[in-house]
Amino acid sequence: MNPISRRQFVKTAGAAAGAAALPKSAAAATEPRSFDNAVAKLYDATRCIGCRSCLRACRKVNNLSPEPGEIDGVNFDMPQDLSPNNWMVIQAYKQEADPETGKPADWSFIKKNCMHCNVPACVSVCPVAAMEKTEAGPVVYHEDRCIGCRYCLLACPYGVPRYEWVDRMPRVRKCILRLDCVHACPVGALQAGGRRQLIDEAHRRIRENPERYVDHVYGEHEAGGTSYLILSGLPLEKLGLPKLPTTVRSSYAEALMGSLPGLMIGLGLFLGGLYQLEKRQRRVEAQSDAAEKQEPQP
Amino acid sequence: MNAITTRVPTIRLLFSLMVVIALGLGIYRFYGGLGAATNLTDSFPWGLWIGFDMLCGVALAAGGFVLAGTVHIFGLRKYEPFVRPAIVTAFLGYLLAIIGLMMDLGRPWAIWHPLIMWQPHSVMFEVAWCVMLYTTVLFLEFLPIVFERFRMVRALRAMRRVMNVFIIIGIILSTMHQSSLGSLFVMMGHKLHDLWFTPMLPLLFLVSAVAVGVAMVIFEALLSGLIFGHRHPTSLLGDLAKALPPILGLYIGLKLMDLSARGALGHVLDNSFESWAFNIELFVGALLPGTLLLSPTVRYNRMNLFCCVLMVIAGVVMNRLNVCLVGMLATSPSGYLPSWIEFLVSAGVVAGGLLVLSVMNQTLPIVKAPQETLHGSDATPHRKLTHA
Repeated sequence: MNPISRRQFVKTAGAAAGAAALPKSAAAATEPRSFDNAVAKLYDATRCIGCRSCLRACRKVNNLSPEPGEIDGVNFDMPQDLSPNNWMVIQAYKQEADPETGKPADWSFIKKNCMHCNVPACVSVCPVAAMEKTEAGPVVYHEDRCIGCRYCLLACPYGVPRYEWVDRMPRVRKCILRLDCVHACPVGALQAGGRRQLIDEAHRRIRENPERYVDHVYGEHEAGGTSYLILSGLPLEKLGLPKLPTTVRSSYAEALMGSLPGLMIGLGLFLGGLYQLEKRQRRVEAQSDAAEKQEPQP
Repeated sequence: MNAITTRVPTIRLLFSLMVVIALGLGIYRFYGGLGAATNLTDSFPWGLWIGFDMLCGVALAAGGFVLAGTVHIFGLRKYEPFVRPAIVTAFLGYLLAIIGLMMDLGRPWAIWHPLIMWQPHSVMFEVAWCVMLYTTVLFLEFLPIVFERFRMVRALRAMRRVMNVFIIIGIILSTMHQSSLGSLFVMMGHKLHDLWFTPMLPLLFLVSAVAVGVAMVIFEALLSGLIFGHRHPTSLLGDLAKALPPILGLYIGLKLMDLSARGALGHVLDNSFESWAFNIELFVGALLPGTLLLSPTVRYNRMNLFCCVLMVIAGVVMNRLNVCLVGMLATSPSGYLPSWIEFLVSAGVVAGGLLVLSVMNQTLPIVKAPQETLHGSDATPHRKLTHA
């Protein structure tokens, strides 16, 4: 056996042993899953005309009832925000004219819904794995597992999950990345495809029309990346999209959880040892007490 | 009989009434859903029942593991008379926290799911397991009191043999649970105010729980002494209170170091709602009692001691409410003020706890002389007899 092949053998064997010893989830944590080929959506806010055909399709495919609302005394289904019945919402933002730079007033629509993160905070915090990031791309909710702690609502940096507050059997409600909204869009503001392919497409649009877009594909890197990507002509924070670091949000909390076996073993040994010492001390004291009783001091 | 003793039946009646009201409101909450009973919203999903019933209930139950550790592991056996009251309070505290949790969970009938549906990356998973396991351990630590009351000698002896294992497991579980309640909030950097949001939250929760554990034991001893007659010398309580200044000092030090490390020290002087909440919490709840308790004239005077431990308790309660409620207000468009139903349910839960505690104080051998208690002491009544 020559040295190279021996080294190779040791390496391979070690890697195999390591992979066998690691639980599946731990291996997954060290190497995040890639969703480059999983389903994603690209929303181009500069193309959106705010017609809400997507909302209508969303309602239909997910069996959601319209939101009762009134405008000038007429029933009108025009939701302002996400809700248990609105898994997506079209909002409009206006930017005032800037007299100093001479920039005219501008406005933009924004389609908000679940971002379908690659490493979702809601999945990480759920104690019973009721939230799941599937291999296919979407983050889905399993009603039969949920205990209703609502940690997912608090952990989501985009404030997406909604709760059925007035229900006796409440559920968490949110977008599950169906493609009907994409097919319903009459102007091509929405596009479905592989995540990497859509990111390339978004960058191509920015390159070809740099004055039309902000040079940022929202969701490419945000909190580890998302399967819902946004292109915009207005600054993204104007559209109510939070500025997030590229790091995965749950890494610290999961590290804390990872420290627990060590804590349990260490604390157990420490307390057990202290207890043994204390017990011995007590026995010595009891013996000297007994000795004193037998031979009273003069 | 002093004035308070004669009023005990009236107070019990009042507490019973509060429990009945809470019970009725509890039924309404399950009939109409969380939205009907609470002011919770999608941008403010955790309210009073988590902030007070759960976070404060568990923190105030810390006396159980702190005293059990002090006496049985660190061997400071002169504090043994406090172990039983502390364990009873902790057991009740956990039961009350669980009742609060059952009210708050959207699907409480699924509360057992974490037993079989594992997701060990979630802090909430750890919390769920700690609540279940530590309540069981507290029940086992509580059992000897019942055995003793009904003179079940054999059961008592069997229990004694394994009690030390339970005590050690109890301390480990408490350490994990107290800190994990802080860890819950490390995912909320986008929600929680800079004055409270820190990766150190688990450590801060643990240290403040130890402080409030000691304070609660002294508080209870003084209060039950006032109502049922004094059983502990002031000197013993004062000695126990010596532990508070160093613990509070460590806590304040950690908090200030953490603030300055994150560059958030300036927020203390913001003159905002949050800065005042933080300052009152830190100064009235930790700095003032920590400093005052350095003085023997404060420690060995019942009234002064009572005021100081009350400040410590209030400080930790404020801290938990600040982390869970006050610090979350600014980022929530809906805002949050607990509904009257939430207030009355929480009040009813506390009243129920005090009611049970006061009845148990009279019917079970909770407050006793050290040599007659079971927990860890070698001197059982039998052996005492043979010695004599």
